Amino acid sequence: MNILEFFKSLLNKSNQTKIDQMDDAYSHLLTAKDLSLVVCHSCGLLSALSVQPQSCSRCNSVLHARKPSSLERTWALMLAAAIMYIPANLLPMTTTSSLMGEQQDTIMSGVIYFWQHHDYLVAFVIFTASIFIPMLKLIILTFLLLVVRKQATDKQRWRPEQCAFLYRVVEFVGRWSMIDVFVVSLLTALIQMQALASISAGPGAVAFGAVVVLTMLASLSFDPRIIWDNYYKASVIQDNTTSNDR
Amino acid sequence: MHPIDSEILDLPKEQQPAASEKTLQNAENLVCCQECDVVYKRIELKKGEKAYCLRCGAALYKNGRTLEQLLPLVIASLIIFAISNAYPIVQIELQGIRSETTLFGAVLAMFNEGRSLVAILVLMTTIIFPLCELLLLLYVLLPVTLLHTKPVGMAIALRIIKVFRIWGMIEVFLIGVLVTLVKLVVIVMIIPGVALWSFGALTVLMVLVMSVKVSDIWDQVEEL
Repeated sequence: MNILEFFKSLLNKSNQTKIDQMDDAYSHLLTAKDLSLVVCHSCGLLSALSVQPQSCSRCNSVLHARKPSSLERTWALMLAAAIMYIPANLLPMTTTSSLMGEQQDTIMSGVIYFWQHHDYLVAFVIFTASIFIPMLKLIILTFLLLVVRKQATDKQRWRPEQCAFLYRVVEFVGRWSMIDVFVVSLLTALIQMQALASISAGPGAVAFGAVVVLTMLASLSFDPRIIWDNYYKASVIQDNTTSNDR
Repeated sequence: MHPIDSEILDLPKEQQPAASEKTLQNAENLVCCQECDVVYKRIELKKGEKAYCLRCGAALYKNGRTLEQLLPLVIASLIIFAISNAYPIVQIELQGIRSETTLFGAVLAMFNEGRSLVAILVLMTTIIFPLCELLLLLYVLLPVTLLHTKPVGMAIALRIIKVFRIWGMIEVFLIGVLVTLVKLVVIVMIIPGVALWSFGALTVLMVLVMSVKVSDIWDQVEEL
């Protein structure tokens, strides 16, 4: 599903008949769960699901029908990342000492510096990678967790394809926030020119590194299959209640 | 790449739970979407074709590079990796004072600053994880392609590769280097080092290596 289709489907959201048609089109697809199979997360081999803890016959990884306590872990890691996001933005990333004195820079002050010096591209890259992407990840993960939770009991208008697309966005952009951590360590290594100028990494760099690692762990522990499970579970519940009403 | 609609597992809905024993007899002919759990029957793909999940659109499997084609890419990556780490990335000059750094120099600088957590993060994502991934790939691919035998501990090696891939960030580091250079270009004179170019080459090679997924490797190894 590409971006264009995503926005197109957003526009069609109110179109109930089309949604029902889509659900019908997918209704004949069988999941591994329907067939009491389990897929190996590492090598992709299917095995028969059993009650006891089992391991993959091909690569010996422990098999789970769904990632274990996926939603709880994602919530915990996501909240930890949200907390670390505050010091990451408030504490200085770098401290520059030069002949002119000492100067402390947060992420945002760096962005503002480049913007004022008409270096719009660099300002944009730093802003996107260091402020926008971590925030986007936190917002999308919270949104997905809430949708999945609502959808478990009640069919919402959020299409699972759109949620799956959002999850893929989170997975794809996650690593790119590391840019600023690399920039800080390179600057620290390069600008060590005795009295002239020297740059050292501030406590903000540690908090920022923690945000990147925590958000990556959070998106890894989220199981996108739950989006589909809950969506179709809610459809069944709703179908039953409507037929009872008649 | 041409997307191909995978053939749907044609089983009547009523038979589903009972069917698992029967379908498992040819588990190799089945493929399951890792993102939405739908099961498909595997069909033969033409060279360069890729199968996608009908429901969520995730890539399922492909007929891409063979392991014989992957091996030279891995060896080339290892050589370029060595060059990238041996030479300085960039040299700067400010009023007669010169300063240069390698990738490991950047890690050491962070250690010396007392930011050892960040230093470990940089060390892991740019050196340890990519290097281990390439070495393990070499360990698996050499016996598999040349001797047609599976090496000892292949399963563990492939599982480690799968995890390390997520955390290796050579391409992100390259963008980090470029941002640093743009930041510095107004203040100091910049002399690009050998490693700057080799990191560019390494990024391209790693993308090619990563295009063969671990499950694709498993599928090809199975055929031995």
